[in-house]
Amino acid sequence: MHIVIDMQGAQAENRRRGIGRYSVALAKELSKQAIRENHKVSIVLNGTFQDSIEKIKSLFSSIISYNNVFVWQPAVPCAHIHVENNWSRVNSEKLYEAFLKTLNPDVVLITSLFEGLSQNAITSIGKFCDLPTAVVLYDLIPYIHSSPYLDNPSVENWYREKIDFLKKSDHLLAISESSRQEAIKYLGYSNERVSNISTDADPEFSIKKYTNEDKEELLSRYGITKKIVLYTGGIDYRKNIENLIISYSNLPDVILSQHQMAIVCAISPNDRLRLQTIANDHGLSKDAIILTDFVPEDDLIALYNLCTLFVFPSWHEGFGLPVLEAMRCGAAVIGANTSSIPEVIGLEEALFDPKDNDSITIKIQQALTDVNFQKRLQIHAEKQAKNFSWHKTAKASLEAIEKNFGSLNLVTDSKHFIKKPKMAYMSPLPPERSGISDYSADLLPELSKYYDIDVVVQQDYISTEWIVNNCKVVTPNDFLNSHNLYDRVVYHFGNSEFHAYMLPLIEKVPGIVVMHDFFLSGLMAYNGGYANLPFFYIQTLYSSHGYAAVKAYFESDDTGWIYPCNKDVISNSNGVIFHSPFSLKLTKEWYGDFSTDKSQVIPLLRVSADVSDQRKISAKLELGFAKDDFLICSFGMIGKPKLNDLLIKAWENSLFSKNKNCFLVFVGQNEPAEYGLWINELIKNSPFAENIIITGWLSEQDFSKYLLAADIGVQLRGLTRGETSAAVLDCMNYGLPTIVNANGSMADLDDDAVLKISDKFESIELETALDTLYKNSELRASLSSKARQKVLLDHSPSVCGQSYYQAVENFYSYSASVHQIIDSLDNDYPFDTNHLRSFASAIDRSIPKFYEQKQILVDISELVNRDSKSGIQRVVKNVLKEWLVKPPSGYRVEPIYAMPDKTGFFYARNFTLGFLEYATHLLEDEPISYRAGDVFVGLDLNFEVAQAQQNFIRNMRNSGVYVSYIVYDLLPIKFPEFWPPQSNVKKIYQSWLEVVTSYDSAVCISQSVASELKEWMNEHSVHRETPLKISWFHLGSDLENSAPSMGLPENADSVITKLTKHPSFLMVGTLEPRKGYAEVLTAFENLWKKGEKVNLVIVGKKGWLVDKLINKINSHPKLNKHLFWMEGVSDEYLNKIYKNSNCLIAASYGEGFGLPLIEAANHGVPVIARDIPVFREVSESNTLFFSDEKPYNLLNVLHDFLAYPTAAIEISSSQKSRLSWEESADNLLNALTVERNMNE
Amino acid sequence: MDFASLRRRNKNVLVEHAFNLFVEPNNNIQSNKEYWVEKLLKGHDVLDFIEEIKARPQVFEDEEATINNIASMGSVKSKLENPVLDVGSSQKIKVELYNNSNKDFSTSAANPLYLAYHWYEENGSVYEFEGIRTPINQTVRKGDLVVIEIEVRAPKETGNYIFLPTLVVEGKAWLENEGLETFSQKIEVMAPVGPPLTRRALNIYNSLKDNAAA
Repeated sequence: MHIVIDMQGAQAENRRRGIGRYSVALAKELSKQAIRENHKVSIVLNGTFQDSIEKIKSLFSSIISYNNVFVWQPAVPCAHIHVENNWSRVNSEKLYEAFLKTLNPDVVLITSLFEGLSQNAITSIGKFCDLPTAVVLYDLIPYIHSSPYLDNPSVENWYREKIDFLKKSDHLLAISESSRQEAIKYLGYSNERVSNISTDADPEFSIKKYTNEDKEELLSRYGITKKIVLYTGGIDYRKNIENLIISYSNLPDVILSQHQMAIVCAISPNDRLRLQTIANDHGLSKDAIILTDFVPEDDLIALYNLCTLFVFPSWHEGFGLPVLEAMRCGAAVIGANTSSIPEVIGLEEALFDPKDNDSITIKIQQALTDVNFQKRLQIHAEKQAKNFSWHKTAKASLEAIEKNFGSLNLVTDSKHFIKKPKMAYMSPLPPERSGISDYSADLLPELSKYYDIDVVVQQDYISTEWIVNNCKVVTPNDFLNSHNLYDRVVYHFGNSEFHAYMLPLIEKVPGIVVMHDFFLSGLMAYNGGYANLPFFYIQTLYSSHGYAAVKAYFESDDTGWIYPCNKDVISNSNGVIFHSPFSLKLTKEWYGDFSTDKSQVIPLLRVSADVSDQRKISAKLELGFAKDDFLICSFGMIGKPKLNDLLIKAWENSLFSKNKNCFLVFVGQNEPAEYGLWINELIKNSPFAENIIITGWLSEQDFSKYLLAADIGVQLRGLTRGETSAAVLDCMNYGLPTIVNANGSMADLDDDAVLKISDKFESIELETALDTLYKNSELRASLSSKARQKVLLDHSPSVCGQSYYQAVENFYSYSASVHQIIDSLDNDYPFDTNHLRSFASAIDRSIPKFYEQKQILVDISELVNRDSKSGIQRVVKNVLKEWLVKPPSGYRVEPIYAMPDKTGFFYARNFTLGFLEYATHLLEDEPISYRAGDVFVGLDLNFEVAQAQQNFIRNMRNSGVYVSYIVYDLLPIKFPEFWPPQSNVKKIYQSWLEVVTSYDSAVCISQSVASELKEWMNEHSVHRETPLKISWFHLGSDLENSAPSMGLPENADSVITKLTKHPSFLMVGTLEPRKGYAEVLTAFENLWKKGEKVNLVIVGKKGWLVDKLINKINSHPKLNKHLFWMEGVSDEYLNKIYKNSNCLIAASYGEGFGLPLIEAANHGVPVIARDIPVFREVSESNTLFFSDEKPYNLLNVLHDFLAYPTAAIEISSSQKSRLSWEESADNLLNALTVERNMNE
Repeated sequence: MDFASLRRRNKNVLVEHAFNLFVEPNNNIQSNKEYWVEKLLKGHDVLDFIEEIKARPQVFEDEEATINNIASMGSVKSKLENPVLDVGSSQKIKVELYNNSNKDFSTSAANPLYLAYHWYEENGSVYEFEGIRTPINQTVRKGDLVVIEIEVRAPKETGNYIFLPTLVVEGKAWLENEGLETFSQKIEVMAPVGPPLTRRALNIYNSLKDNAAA
């Protein structure tokens, strides 16, 4: 069974109290046991309590898959105490239940119903629907003692509403026998409807040893100098502390002089004064009573361990947890003989009458003076405490749940119907020329056994008498105005214009969709034209498959055959019915994560054909054949996908063509286009032309005559869009031995009911099949009879009708559509647009669409704003291009952006279309919609946006979106001195890093950066509930894919000539201190001084903090002789320079990746690089490393290089596999999706 | 593919479909289809088109002249899909501009033609008549249909408004008075609370509003 646990008890007002801890402990242990017993467990959380979600998820991470943690959202604010929240609260209660219904629970367990007085928690039962519900009952104290607990009318109002909900709970799980009895006595629950599940204390409460030092330190902190009589458990009317103090004061002085009473709990100044006054009035000294105020849990445990006696005088508890905690710590415990305390203490002689001060005094005195009694209490405590455990509590809960909810079948609304549910049925009906209209004419009488049906059609006339007489005919407009009258809605979708009227209807009123065609491309293309929505088709393609389909639309004529256009129809449905497992398979192929419980296969319906030899002969004669003629028929319109040409050729080569009495008949219309003309030619030129016939379009009656007259059926398909093969079924229904190829849904047919050849068959295979049937009359007879049986068994109207009923009721049992919530809106309380807006957003967040693809949301905020042509943006563009063109299976890639001054992200549709070089206005930018399972990737670097959108991203993450950022480097943190001091770059970067490492993962562009990030995380001891996943990928380097810039300056040739004259060393990159240009220039000055004829070539624009260096270069005597500086060269020119250089020098003190090393390798140029980890990581064997240390300093390495030029050639010839951008983007994607899946 | 080509492609698909469905094969000829594509591109109503080809599929030459005579000088229409703006916010809104006049549409010193707009309150009274002017920085020739983003400032108070984009010849005339076809759009101006509503949430919001009003 599916157990859904509401965890608001651990999120809202009570999260830090016993109830919060109880909720977590029970839910965890119950989940473990339930999963062991093969139950499914889901946790539901209220998204409003942002900070609690990650913590709770992490607590359950080892027990429950992230996929089974659901976050919903009420309209806020909705706390009960503020009357202006009433509208939001009452409607959020409906939304809460609707949301729970969509999870299809067998039971909803609410661990704390009494939430939401002052915070935005919503718990309700029976406001929207009847869900099987169990509630944990802690106590009914305010109900029984309404004064003083309900003296405040706002509190009373809230409490009594919750009591009304509680009464509707199917079962209560009471935390003690005492609470259980209260539910029976005060709420009228029967014995069977309440179970005692008891409770346990946290495992931290246990017997511990303390050193004398620890003891002294602790006691002196609280001013305790004597033996301790301990109380903890709050200061409240029923806690009876006043009488405890008075009773304590009545103890003999000798006892008082040896003890202090410690009252350990949070205390208000008023209560403190009041209790001190009572103590004083009763002659107690100032230090006789210690009021500690709140103490940390460790201190409380120590006090339990160190006390001489624990006294619990409360006269009413739900359980009395401090009693159990004290016993767990080995304390001698005495307590009241009322409510739940006796069952917790479990020892008659340890009890006193809480209303009788003498009784309390006597018991305390006995416990403090009678050593044996004290010992007995301690021994008993240890034993009694063992009777309580979370394991037992969870076991009792699970048993109660299994017993009371386990035997329930699907809870369907239909049980509430006194008469047949009312169904709106959309389909073309006869005489419309669509197979689906005939289908509906056959189905409707069967469905009418279960439903009162109105047909919603857009046609002037219905020719089927039964429908006219038995169904009300409703126009689409009337349906829209009265849709809430219908209990069930069914849409039949096929690929023709007859279904266009349903598109606007299903958008507003969801229903069960019967998919007769999987692609629906023709319908969508038609609708775009019909509804005068010029971009409808392309928008539908985009909506179904994202940018890859948009690309196909512009670059291929066959988009309609490649990409199904059905996602919006499926998304708006409540459930999908297919006619063949093949369509279901297509759904899985296209929408990988589409779960099977959202769809059902119901075979096509067929009224059994009346077939006999006599009728066959009559049909032949009526059609103009002789009674002995043998007819091989292929039914349906002629067209390329039907492979009619292959059938003609195979038939010509088969034994049939040699027999004059055999005819090949194409029963249907020829295609009025190229293929049809070609078929005509084929027939005309055939030596057997006289025996090949095309009937042309036929009436239904004549079509049936051919089915009756035929001796063999041949139904072939080359291309399929998932449509149901009705013609094959017709053949089988008429008992024809039928040859099919295993294409699409025909592959699902039983092998003994049809003669199946391969999907992509060779002609000889079809010829053999034909000849087999020609020769083997027994096989013909067997196929005929099996086919008839199959139709009778699986396709009969009554079987199909019943399957429909079951499927429809099943889907409706857990569907809660947006329009149902809107229809049930409670507008009794005042509201304004802000209420509506918040509620709209809450519904959107809480009620998922029936189906939505997972998205990879790629943040490109910087690129959308401006293309600064930086290295990072080169990565962003290359990765984006690869992802858009080749999205990963199961995901759609959506570039998004945000602005620093506006909350939320937007789909970057205009930008992306422009990026792909299509017209930008085909799609609109709009706020993003996200769901659990999506992946957010911060691909671009934009500090402001990352900071500004923190809250939004955290909400996304709480909802189950996996959030990851790309980290390009940590240079500003490692080398802040390389940036102008006023740029504040270290601080900005650090803040950014703090934000992005608070999410799920960081993917670095090299292993070195990943190590640096790990180090940084350690140094900063960032607090996280679960560790940050840090991974890395390498960048691509194929220039041809990076849209290289072109152009050469006028002096290019003369520069290149100079470079070729002497060994040339190239440096590439912006001139900034980090790149080490100054050091290299000094080394070359050394070489030049020694008379070396070598060139230093610098390619890079001027950066920051390099004025001195630039002056030096510009006034250098070697400039343009042996020293060259080129700013802003094209990729084409840079390529030329690479080709004519002898070596690349990479002198950077720090890099994220080191692309020039890869580029040098691409050009076969050896490299001299500084010895830093990232260069070691990306370098190939063509690299010599230098460091500050002799003999490996730059000058020495340069000398070596110049001295052994052959070695340079050797090292340049080595090759290591370098990544293309396609591979790089793939690796990044894998890092993200694999991590994401592991997270699930 | 540019906007105009795409529009033409879609009209072709529509006409092809409609002819296959409603027109006998002997009238299903290319010239007839081309005629209707042109006519639809000029804004002919689609439902009328279907009724007309059902009734009389063949083309009469003199119809061409009639259509041009009754046609307007062009049109301006908002393309804003989600008709909700944040109060007082500045927005770029796309409008579809169709030139059916004998002059080019473009802004120059000699021809101070601008895209602009009016805001009306729900009851029809003017809220802001002189909307921000956006120059037409391209030449929109006769028969061209282009989409241009115009600068719009939303009203400063929340509520329901009517937005009417149009053309103005500065200092001379508002062209809706001179034969320019304009389309008004109801727009709700809201106080921004939290992140903007998604398309689905906005649809839900509108349904909630309708339900509340009912």
